[in-house]
Amino acid sequence: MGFLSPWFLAGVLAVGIPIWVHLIRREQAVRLPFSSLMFLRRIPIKSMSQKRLKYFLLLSMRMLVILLLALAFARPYFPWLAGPLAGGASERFGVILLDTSMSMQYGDRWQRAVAAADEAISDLGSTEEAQIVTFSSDFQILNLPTADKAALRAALEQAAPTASPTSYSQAFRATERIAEDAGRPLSVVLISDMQKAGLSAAGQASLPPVADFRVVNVAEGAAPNWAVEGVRSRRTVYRARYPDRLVVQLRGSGTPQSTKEVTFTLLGRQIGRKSVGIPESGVATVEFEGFDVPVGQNAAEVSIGPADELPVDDKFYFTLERREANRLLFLRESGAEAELYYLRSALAAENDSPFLIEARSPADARSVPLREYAMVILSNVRQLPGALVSELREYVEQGGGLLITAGSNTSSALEMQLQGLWPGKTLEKRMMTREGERLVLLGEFDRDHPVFRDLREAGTDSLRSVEVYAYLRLEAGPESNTAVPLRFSNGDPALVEQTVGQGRVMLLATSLDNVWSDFPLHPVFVPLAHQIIRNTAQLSAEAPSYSIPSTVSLREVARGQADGASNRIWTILGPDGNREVPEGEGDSDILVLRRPGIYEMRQANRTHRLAANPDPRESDLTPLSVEDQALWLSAARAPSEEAQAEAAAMGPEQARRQSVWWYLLLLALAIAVVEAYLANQFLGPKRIAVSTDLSPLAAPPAE
Amino acid sequence: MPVDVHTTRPTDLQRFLDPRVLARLANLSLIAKTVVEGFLLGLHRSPYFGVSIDFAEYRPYAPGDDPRSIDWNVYARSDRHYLKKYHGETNAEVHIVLDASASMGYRSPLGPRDAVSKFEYGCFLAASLAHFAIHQRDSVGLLLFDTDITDKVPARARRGQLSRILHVLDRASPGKSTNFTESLQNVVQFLNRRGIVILISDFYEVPATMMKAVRALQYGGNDLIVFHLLDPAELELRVDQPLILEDVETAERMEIIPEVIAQQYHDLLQEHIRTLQHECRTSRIDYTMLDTSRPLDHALFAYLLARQKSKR
Repeated sequence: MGFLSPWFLAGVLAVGIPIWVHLIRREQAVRLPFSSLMFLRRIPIKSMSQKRLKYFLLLSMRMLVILLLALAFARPYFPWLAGPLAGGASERFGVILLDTSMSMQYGDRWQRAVAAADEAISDLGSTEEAQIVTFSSDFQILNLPTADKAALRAALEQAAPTASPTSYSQAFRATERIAEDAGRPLSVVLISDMQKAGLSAAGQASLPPVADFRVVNVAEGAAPNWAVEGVRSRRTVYRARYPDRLVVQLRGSGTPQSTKEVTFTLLGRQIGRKSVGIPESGVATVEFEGFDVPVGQNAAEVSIGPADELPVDDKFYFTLERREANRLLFLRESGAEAELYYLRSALAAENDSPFLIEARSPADARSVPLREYAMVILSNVRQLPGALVSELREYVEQGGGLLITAGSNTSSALEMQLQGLWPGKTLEKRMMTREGERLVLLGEFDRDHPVFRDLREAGTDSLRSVEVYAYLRLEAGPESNTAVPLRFSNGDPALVEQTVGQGRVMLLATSLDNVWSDFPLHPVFVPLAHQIIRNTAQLSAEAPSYSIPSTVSLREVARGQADGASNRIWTILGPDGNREVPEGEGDSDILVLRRPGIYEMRQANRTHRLAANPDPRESDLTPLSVEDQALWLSAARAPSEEAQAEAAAMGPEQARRQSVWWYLLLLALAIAVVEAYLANQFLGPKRIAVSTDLSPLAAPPAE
Repeated sequence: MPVDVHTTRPTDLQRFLDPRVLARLANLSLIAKTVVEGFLLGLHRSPYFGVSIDFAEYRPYAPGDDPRSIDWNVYARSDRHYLKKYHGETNAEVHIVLDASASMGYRSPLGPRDAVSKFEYGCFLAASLAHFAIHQRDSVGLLLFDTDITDKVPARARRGQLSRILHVLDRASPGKSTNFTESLQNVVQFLNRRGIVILISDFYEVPATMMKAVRALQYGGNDLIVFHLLDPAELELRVDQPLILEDVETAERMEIIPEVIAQQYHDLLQEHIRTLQHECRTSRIDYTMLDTSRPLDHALFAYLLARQKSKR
């Protein structure tokens, strides 16, 4: 017997209370001589000895009530009663954990796993209920608890290997959940290839204590496997010719030295084919370059041949998009070319720049449709034409980006015009040279902000050495929609961000040229200019491919499209061409990529493609070492084999389920009621009052 | 002649009739004298003065009558011989029978410190009655009993009789348990002449058994006066805490909660008293229940009434 709350046993000391009370009661009775007990004897009070016995009976009952209460609160449990008390069934509950990770597709592992599961079903007792659980990167319980073996086999037929990586922690979680519901000792059969990669993910988890745990290892012998581990490529290009080299990385695990044919296919058309030698259990890379990319989002694929025992990781899917560069409308006063020069130079520093700057004066921009631009930059602009202001406001609210940089021309009139778009409030135009301070440096920045998230140490040093000679002294607006990711060293905001509608406005308090600061002369200007523009235009840096399983937000995919179509319904086609349904409830926009291949997401006249590939770690089929496997299994089994195992094997939850405490409380209540009744009968007035038949004393029989 | 004992009122001298005051007097003779004189003083103020030796009737002389009884004044006026008859011209023989069992020694331990026990009260009563009887020139005897007769003073009218009685009372103390049947049967052997028997006891016995023994004292035409003595604590159980009561005669113990059983005890005791009263009345026995906290003159009135009845 064990106790869940043993400290409550200290309550047993309370039995001293009734003993104390009884002692006090005995002391209270004064002993007096009396002339005759002739009449008192006729009153039906029990004799002293009988009463003493009843006092002891009452005392015992009171002590028993306290003992029972203390025991009940200590929550005792009996391991050997676990079954009958908790669930009413004495048999164990079967759990078949079936590994459906990608590695199970290797050779005939899956067929053997299914056969092992079928055998496990056959081994179940006639009344033993069981559930089948498939697990990889998550778990799925295939059936409700049932002892019907036909139903279990039908559930087993639904199981199929996936492209997800192994995670034994998921199997353990599933076991825990079943243990909570079953209320019986679990008999667990784990059918897996015991892949080492799956254990690392389970490092934090352990199998809950179970009554019986058996492992069926379906991996046999060496398992050499080659895989395309990854492709390093751009997601988007803006010119026909691919600007870089496309690098393919191949890896062999448990493989001998070999030569593989690598084929690169773009939009179904073979771009290149190369032969590469892969060292023993090693890595090799292949590069492709000098190929043209058609306009649009193109499905690309790299595969190796000849196929091995695990073909699913012999292909690598990715998307390659060619599109027009993002057009930026750069508005500046006529003749002010310095800012344009520095920004254009910074953006052009990147090979195949995603940005194309169109410079205009505010007056010239009056008739320009802003929707065609990824963002608008107001560089040291004095004032805007009225029509442009209203169009600009509508543009931003619908998702457009606006970057305002300060300068000598910046006026309060512009701030007035852009009321609602202007982040914060301008207090003054501060010229440091006039105030004798000469300059102020750029100071603290928010490392979590997207603009600075990727800034390295060298960039930080460069940023902090920027000298600013003049700036707009700003007061940031309410924090709900305004952020200050960068400040001057004196604490004044240097870069203010404000969300307006679906769009975003950023205000740089100093100029982009080298008049108000030497910012463009520092190396950090180039990456920051890119990041500020990407952030303001809300251009997502999408990856060319995703690992399985990955979660994609459809709303995030639609972000940055300033056509207001982000709320429209998506049509999603999976790699096999079948329609996919976003997961979650209601208007969920979550798409989980579980199968390798290209996903097509269609919305209105736009098609977005995503590529999904198996986790490369899953391609490493190295099995768990015998020592590690034994250690792991012994740790999982330990509670059921140790001396006090059965208590622990029940698990705290099962122990909690035992309602022994409830029976003890009921018993205590019953004894308390009996005690109250007896106390009233023996000590209370009622018992004596019932003797109303007080006839005169009877004479003894005549002599 | 009826006597209403309730018409007497306490006076300065009558306060000496209070048993608690009497208990302070060490001398039993003095107590008896104080009681009787106090009683008589109170009596002079009562409307029933002259209950002692009274003229009863004139009766024509018949041969055999004592010539000394002839009222010669009447003969001178009427020329006939008449005899003048008086009440009480014959002295009575009075036997005082006092219960000296252990239960008579009971005095409420929770009552006043100067409270007297039933036995002390009985001794005061016996002494007072003896003094009173001697004062009336009656012959007086004393018998003490518990399970048997423990002490006795035969009835005499001679000088020094009162001293002997008081001496016996003075050294007597409550003894063992009570055996009414045997004791009173033995008492009967000492009743040679018709007279007055005064029985003083707390009568802790089944009424039927007890009355059978008590009626034996009436044999020979004795007038029987019964004084039933009870302590106030026996009449009312007025304690508000649990008690372990120990029977002084049998040493039996019983734990009680007075507040719970007091009423039933009271009912049973009153029923016992009523039964005794009824039985005594039907047997023409004068029964008087005396609370030991009450003055002794009640007892003396009872005696006088009985004596008066005896002389008729």
